[in-house]
Amino acid sequence: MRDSALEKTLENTLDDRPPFLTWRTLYIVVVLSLVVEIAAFAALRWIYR
Amino acid sequence: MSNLDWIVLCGTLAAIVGFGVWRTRGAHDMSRYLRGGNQESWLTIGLSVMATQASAVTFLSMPGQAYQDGMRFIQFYFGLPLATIVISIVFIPRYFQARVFTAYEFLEARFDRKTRQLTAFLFLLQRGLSAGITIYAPSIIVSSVLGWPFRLTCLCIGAIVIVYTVVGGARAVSQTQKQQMVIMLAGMAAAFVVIVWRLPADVTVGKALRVAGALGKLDALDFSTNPNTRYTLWSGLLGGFFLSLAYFGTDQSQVQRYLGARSIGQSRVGLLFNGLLKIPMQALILLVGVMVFVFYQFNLPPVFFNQAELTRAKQTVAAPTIERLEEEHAGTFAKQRVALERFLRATDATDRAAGRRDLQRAVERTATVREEARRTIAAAVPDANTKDSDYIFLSFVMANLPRGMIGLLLVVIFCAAMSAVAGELSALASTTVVDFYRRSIRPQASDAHYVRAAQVFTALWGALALAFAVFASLLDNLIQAVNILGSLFYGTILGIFLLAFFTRRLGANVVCIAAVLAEAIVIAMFGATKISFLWYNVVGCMAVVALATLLHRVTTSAGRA
Repeated sequence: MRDSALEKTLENTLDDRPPFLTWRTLYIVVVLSLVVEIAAFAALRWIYR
Repeated sequence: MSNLDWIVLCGTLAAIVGFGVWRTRGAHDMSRYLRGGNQESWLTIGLSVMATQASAVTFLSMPGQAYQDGMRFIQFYFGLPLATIVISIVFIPRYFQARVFTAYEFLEARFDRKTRQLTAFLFLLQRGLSAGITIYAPSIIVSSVLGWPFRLTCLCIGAIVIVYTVVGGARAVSQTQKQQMVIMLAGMAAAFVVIVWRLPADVTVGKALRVAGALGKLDALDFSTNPNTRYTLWSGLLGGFFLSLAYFGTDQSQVQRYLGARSIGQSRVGLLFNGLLKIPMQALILLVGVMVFVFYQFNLPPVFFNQAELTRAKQTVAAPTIERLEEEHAGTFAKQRVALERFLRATDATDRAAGRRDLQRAVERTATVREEARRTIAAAVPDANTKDSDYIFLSFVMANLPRGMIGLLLVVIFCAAMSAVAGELSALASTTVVDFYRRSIRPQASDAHYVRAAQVFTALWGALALAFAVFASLLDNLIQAVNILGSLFYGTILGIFLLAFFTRRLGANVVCIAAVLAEAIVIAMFGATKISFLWYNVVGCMAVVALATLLHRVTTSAGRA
C-alpha cells in the first residue's frame, strides 16, 4: 500500500478516537499501565515476602 | 449438582445462545456473515478478542497452576499490551485499507497466491487441530469431576457452538462472546469473593496474602536470564511480544474479530482495551488459584485432586499403600497447620522469620507425601493421568462453594469453551472459503453461494473438531504435538507479514524459501534444545526477515553479475 493512501485512511479515522485522547496518549496509557502492573507485582512480592 | 445449579447453567447458556442467534438472524451476504457487516463497537471487539483467547483451560488450569507454582505465569502476558500498540499502528489500517476478509488475503496483494495459501494452510492445520483440543480439554476435566459421560460433554459444548456459529456467522460469534466474557469476568470475581469468605473468620485478605507470600506463591517476577526457564520477565516481554504480535496480528481467529469493527478507530480501541485489561484479568484468575492454595492451608486437601484416578488406584493392589499415604498426609497436614498458626501469631521480625521457615518445611513434607501418592497411582494405574493440577479448581468448587455458585462457575467454563471454539470455527470457515474455495475452486459464484459454502465449512470444521475431541484420548502424543504446534509456526508467519508490511522489493520466491528455512531452524531448535517455547516466536520471525533479506541481496547481486 502506498504511504499516502495509508495516511489518508488514518486521517479519515482520527475522529474515531475517544474525544479526550489522541492516539499517542492512548498508546502511552497502555505502556504506563504495563509499567505500573509490573511494579505492582514487584511490590506484592516485597510487601508479603 | 443441585437443581439451582442446573437452572443457572442451562438458563444462562440458553439465554446467551438464543440472544446471539436472534440478534444475528438473516446474515445472507459475505460481508455480514464473515465480517459481521462492520457494525461492532470497540467494546464488543475488545470483549470478543478477549473471549476468543480465553478458553476453558484458562479458567480450569490457571488456578491450579497458581496453586502449584504461584503467580509467575503472569509474565507470559507482559508482551501483549506492547503488541496491541504495534498492531493498532501497523496491521489494522492496512487490513482495513485492503478491505480483506482474511489476513492471508493481504499477502497475495503484496507477494503472490502461493505465499497467501501457504500461510493460510499453516493456519488451518494449526487452528483446525487446536479447535478439537479446545473442546477436549475442558470436557475431560468436567466429565471426570462431575461424573458426566465424556462424549456427551464434548457433544454438549460442540453441538451448541456449531449451531449458533453456522446460523449467525462472525456477528453471532462476537455478540455471544460479549455476553460470555462479561459472565466469565463476573464469575471469577464472585469466586474470589466467595473463597475469601470461606477462609477462617480471623483470616483477612492481608493475612491470606502473607501466608501465600511466605510460601512463594506471590513471586510473579523472575529476572533469570536462563533461556531454558519457561517464564521470566525477559521471555515474557520479548517472546510474549512476538507471540502476541503473531497471534493477534496474523491469526485469523483474532483478525476476524477486529475486522468486524465499524471503523479503524473502533477496531484499534477494542484491541487496546484488551491490552489494558488482559493482565489484570489473568492476575485475578491466578489470584483465585493462590486463594484456593491458602484455603487448603487451613483445610485438609485431598492427597490427590483427580478423584477418579484416585478411586481407580484404590481398586488395585496399591489400595493399602494409598490409605497409608492418606493417613500420613493428614498427619503432616496437622503439623503444618500448627506451624501456620505460629507463623500468623508471630509479632516481631525474628519470630516471623522462624515461623516462616518452619511453615515452609512443613509444607515441603506434605508435598513429599503428595508426590509419593502420585507416584503410587502412576505405578498402580499405568494409563492414569497423574498431573492433577488441572483438577484442583473444579474439585474445590464442587466441594466448597454454595449452591448456585457451582452452576455459575460451570457457566464460566462452558462459556469460555464455547467462545474460543466459536471464534476458531468461524475463522477456519472464512479462511477455507476466501483463501481456497473462492480463490481457486469457484471464483465467480454469487455472494449467497459463498455464505452457504461458509456455513457448510463451519459445520464441517465443527464436526472435525468434535470428532478429534471425542477420539483425542486415544492420541496422547498428538495432543502434546498440537499444543506446541502454534509456537512452532507463529514466528515464521509473523516474519512473512512483517516483510509484506515493511519491504517493497523482496519477491515472493525469496520470502517463501526464507520461510521454509526459518521453519526448519525453529523445528531443529525444538528438537535439539530445551529453550523456552516463547523464544521460538522471536527466532522464527527474525530468521525469516534475515534470510529473506540475505537471499534477496545474493540473487540481486548474482543478477547484476
